[in-house]
Amino acid sequence: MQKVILKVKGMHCASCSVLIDKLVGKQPGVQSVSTSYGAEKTAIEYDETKIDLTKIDKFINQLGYDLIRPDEESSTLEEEEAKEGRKIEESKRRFLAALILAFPIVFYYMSVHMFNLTHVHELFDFMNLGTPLAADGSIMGYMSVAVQWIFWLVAKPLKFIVELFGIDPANPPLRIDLNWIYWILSTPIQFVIGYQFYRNSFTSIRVGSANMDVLVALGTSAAYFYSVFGFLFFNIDHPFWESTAALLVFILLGRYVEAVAKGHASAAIKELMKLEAKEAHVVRNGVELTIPVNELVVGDVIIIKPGEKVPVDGTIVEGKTHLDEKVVTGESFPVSKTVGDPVIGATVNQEGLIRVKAEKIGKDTLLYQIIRMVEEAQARKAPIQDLVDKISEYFVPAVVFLSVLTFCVWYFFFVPDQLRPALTKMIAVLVISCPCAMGLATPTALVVGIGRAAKFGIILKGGEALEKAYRITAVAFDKTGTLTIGKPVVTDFEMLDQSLPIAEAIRLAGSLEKGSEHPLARAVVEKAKEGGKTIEDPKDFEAVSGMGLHGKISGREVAIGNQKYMDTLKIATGAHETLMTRLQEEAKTSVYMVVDGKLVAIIAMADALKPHAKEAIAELKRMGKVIIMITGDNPKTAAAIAKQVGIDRFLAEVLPQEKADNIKKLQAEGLKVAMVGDGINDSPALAQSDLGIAIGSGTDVAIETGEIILVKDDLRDVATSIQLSSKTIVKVWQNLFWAFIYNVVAIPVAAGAHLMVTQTAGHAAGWVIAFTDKLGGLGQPILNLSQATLRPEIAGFAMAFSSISVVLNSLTLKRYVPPIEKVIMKTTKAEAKK
Amino acid sequence: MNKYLILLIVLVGLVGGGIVYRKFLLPDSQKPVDTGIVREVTVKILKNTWSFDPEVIDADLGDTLKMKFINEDDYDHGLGIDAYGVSQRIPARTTVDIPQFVVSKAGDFQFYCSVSCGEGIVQSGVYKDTKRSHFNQIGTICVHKTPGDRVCMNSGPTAETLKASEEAALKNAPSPNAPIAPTP
Repeated sequence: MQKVILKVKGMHCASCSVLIDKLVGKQPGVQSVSTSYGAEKTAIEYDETKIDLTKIDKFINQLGYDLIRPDEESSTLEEEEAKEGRKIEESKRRFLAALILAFPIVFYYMSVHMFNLTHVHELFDFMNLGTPLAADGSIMGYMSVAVQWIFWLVAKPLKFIVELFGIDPANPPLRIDLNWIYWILSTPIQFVIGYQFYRNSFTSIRVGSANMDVLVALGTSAAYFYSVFGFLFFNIDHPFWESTAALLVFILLGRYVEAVAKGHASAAIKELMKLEAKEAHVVRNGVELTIPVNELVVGDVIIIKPGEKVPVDGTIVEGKTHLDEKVVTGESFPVSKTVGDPVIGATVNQEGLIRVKAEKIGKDTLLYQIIRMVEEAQARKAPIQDLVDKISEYFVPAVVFLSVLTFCVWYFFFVPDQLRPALTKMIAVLVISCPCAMGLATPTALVVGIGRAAKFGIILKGGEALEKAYRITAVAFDKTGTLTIGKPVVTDFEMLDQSLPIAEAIRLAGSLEKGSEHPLARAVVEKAKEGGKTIEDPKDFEAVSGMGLHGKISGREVAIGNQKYMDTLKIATGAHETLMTRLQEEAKTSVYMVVDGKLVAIIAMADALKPHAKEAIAELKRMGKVIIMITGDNPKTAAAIAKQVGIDRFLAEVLPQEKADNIKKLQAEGLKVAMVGDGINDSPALAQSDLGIAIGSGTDVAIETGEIILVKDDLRDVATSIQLSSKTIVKVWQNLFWAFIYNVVAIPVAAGAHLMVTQTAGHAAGWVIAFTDKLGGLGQPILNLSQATLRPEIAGFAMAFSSISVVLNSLTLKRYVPPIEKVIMKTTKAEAKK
Repeated sequence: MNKYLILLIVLVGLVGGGIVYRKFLLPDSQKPVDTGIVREVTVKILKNTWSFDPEVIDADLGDTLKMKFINEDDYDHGLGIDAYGVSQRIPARTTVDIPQFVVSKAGDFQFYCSVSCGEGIVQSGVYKDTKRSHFNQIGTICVHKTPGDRVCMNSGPTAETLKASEEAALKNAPSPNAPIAPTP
């Protein structure tokens, strides 16, 4: 049994992945197949004795897609990126082309009907339009005149050009129906730009499902062909080119916006690959060679110079250094390493020259394991099918059924044996059910939501992130670098001898520590710098390894070190044991400070909480989310931090590669887990979680893997993003409700079902007459309206308005401020006042 | 099973059921009538009147209606009869023959201008000196169940005529001017 995760190219809609799963799954020997449209990947489990990859590849080719086998040359990062860029560019071009082609038709039809202008159908009549008359004083009057001037501005130059050719517009040699021009303009929209809707519907129908594209293809085709045949053969009054044109423009806009908002799932892996060292210095037969990493073999002795990346996983055989293991652990502590210590690939050598014996190379290294974990987590994720597509599954058959039912009722019962009324009603039903507003409901709200989030410094990668954030029930935090700053700071400076002013003590400590490069020393220097005092260079400085340091500052003998060091200096510390124990329980690293042989202070250092971490946790708790902290640290430190920040549940001593498993366990508990992290070691967990939230100050890989990125490094934004997402999803539902209600109400009207209520035996019903009679002047128009049916072109028109209402509803989101942001604004204002 | 297959079967059943119903199950009293009478009607649209002349067209159930529209305006009009699925364009300064159709359903049916044609003050004719617009250009086709019945409302019964018909019904002596009372 073989299991592979491979790239699939050429998928153009979510149905494609269903098609692949369905048909490849039926092949003998294929155990399981799961394809993700978003990640362009498929996970196939197959029995290699019954079927091989070449055969599967061939089969997928027949379906019209391309499986990239491992032995095939895969495209480079740049090619992939360029391809993604082209995709977005293409959908933008489609939208713009459709807009340009549709604009004249849509604008003309809309304004003529809105302002009840005389509708001109002939080119020369249009040129002969008179100069607009003055407006009647009403707003509509002014708008009407403005529109007429626009027509006039188009008509007059046309007239001038025609006259240049010696044609008299007042007495033209031939008549050119404007519908010819509309036809020429709308045909490319329908079939060239709109080709994708036909292609996607075809795929969808092949798998026996129905998505939104089927409705679009059905509705616009009905409108288009009604217009063409009506215009060519039946002298119909309203070929409604503008409806199909406007509809397709709206939907193409939605598609473009979707393409832009879609996250790039594969970018995370690209970032990880970049981390790998490209070359290594290796000693072979006593000669130092520089070779590409893929030529390394296990057992090679590799020389790693300061500043270089470790190319393999291995053990130090010679030398001593500090390695930056942030890549793996997320902690930016330089870790001291010496002979016999293991080193991990992609970590950075900071100081000394070391020789390392390669133990794991290439795809066996920890970095590759992480890459594989990210890859698997992404491929396994089921694509969140568009909600509209889900509705469409039932809506499409329902609409087809209703349209035929409408035809039958009209043809067999209502106006017996008359084809025309039955056909027009049927077409009206098809047109009105076109999901223009439904198609816009989701993308517009998501895009406004994403834009709004960006205002708060939150980058959402695609609408999926919003949708997931809304469902989150638990939030897991990485400790180091996420909840905490990730490097030690001085938390306590306890004076033991009051004769020395604290500021002076801090200055002395800072000056002494300046001599050391140890991260803890840097924390003390930072603290001293905060005080604003001048820091001197220590004289007679000496660092005692593993104990402490001493030197002379301003003529005073200063020493700082641990208990062991105090013992060697023979300084009694017994009186301060309780204080020391307390600090240690708080997971703080504490040292004594001695000035002129006298114990003066205890300096405690620890990784400090990020500002506002507490408020963020409190707000999330208030929102009813389960909070979990995951850390590689020991339980003591973990407990201390958890207590400080107000987290009740934590998982300590979790190895980097175990983080994803822990998320899995939480998910098995039925929680929808969001993971907040910053390190490369967090990436598999970010990918595994239901929603990966990366801290902006984190590593590139984490940022690429996360679906939400908090640019400001403020943890309160976790709450903001969840609150904003919930609001956005509520908007989506509202939009869908309005779009759907519109269809539910409009379809019966298009079918003429309202006549059953408003008419009795062919006459206006008594109640309608009684009702409209009370309305005075308004009565007659309403009576007329109640007796009329929805003409197909009005159906198309109404559809455009429903789209506008959906867009406007989405735009109201622009003014939404999440509750936590209100608090943040208040605090920043208060801070600014200070 | 493929949902499209199910759908196809349902749709075939629907249409087939309709055909069977029309052919075999329809009671004789409801069988479509075709009187064989062809009624030719010419309707004028006079210059800048935003109205049809005549505004009321009578026919009996089963008659064939052959309409001719003369547009005297310099702009386009249209003809919409929802009930019979008619939607035709009547370009400026032309005469249009509407494809003939059998009026197979009794009742009052609006016919209206379906192409926006502006508004204005009427200069001549019945509506002289009134402000009319595209939205006023409506007429009625009255299709009568009983041949020879020539009573028809202008554009649907008003409360007044309804009241009159009710009073007439109460008196049990139908007035010749009473409209066809709506039957449930």
